[in-house]
Amino acid sequence: MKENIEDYRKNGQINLDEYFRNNPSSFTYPYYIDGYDELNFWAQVGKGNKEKYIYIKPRDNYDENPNYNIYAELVYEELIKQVGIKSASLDLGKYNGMDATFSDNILDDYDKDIFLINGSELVEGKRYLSGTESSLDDLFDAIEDYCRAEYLERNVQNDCIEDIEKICIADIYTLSTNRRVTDYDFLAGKDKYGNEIFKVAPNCHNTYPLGSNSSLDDMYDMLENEDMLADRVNTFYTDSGVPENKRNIDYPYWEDTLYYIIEENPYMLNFARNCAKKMDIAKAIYNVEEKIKSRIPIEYKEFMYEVFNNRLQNICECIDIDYYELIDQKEIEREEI
Amino acid sequence: MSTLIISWDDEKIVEIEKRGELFYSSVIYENVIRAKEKGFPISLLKQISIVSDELAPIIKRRIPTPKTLRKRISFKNEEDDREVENAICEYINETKCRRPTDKFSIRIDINNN
Repeated sequence: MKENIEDYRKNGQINLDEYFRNNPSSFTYPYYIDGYDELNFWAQVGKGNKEKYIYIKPRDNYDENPNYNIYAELVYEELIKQVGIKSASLDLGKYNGMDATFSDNILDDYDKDIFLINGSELVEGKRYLSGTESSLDDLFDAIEDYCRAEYLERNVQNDCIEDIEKICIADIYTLSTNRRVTDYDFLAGKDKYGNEIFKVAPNCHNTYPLGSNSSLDDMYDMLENEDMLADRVNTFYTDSGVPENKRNIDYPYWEDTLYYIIEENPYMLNFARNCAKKMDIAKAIYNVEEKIKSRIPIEYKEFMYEVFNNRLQNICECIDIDYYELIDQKEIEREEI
Repeated sequence: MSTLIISWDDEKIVEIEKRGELFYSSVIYENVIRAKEKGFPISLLKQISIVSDELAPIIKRRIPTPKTLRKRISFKNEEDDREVENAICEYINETKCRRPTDKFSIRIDINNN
């Protein structure tokens, strides 16, 4: 009986159904499910000191193109890691016949007294806001309240806000469309030295990146029609961005959010410029293919390149970077490697 | 009468009773102090109202909705709400709604008095 989950990989995806069939003790009902989420759940895998929990996110037909979505999510993870944002390590699976992603418990890397607080749990305690409708400012206010109530120092609060802004910028580069306040987690509790900690947790949420809320037909249409692609790329934006009362409707929402973050904040402007230089879609795709030991379908890769580079070109105009010079530079670096 | 009990790392911190359509919450203060020593962020309590017509989001998020459960379990009679309600209670008491990433746990105490 194969106990190693890696032995169940076929065409890049781990066959979780087969794994659970052969290792029944590792998967018993009831398992841990999210109140608001119909499909995601935690399952226990491994035995003895190798026992651990994994978080499984199956995709059903609710998603436009679940098969593209799972690859896009892995490429997204690689892209944000390139700019220093921590992320849960995702892998591909098949569960109940559905395409799925799964990840380890991000807390495995931390002390046992550390736990997660979801962004909505901070925001919803304040003014009865809904986690799905809140803006960045609502989240920042809630963080300020939390830090004050827990007697945390001002720099803890500032670090959290900075990390959230970094994730926002990375989301803009990666055309993520589903980042809401509920999609931020915070690490809290005490470290092994007894120090109180509170910081943004490694990303572990599906954000529908790289145009993955497009249907397969839409994807082919966009690949054939450059104008359509350019129009659609502007419509990919995260939900929790610039607050409504500060919104400038002359710009697409993603651009307005970017200006909202980088204006009067040279540190974030610098981070945005670094993202343009460091994010490398080719390298990200390569790393994913190495990880899943299989190739991403060619049309998916082509679409990823197109949407990513289109958005990159738009962002370069916003932050005064010469796009073509940047591409040449990346090409030279690649050749050197 | 049944009571919903919320604990933090085995310290019972809040009891919630349902009377009619309303939920009445009471905080067990001495246990909150103990929980605080174990890292409980006291500010999360602000979500829980003393009297409310619905459960706090922090609790609702941990309990499966009937819709979620219907997707996972085949019930004898799909329309039977009581069957779903029992399944939710069973889920709460078996798992304590304790995810691997947090220290909250929820259980239901049936008080026959």
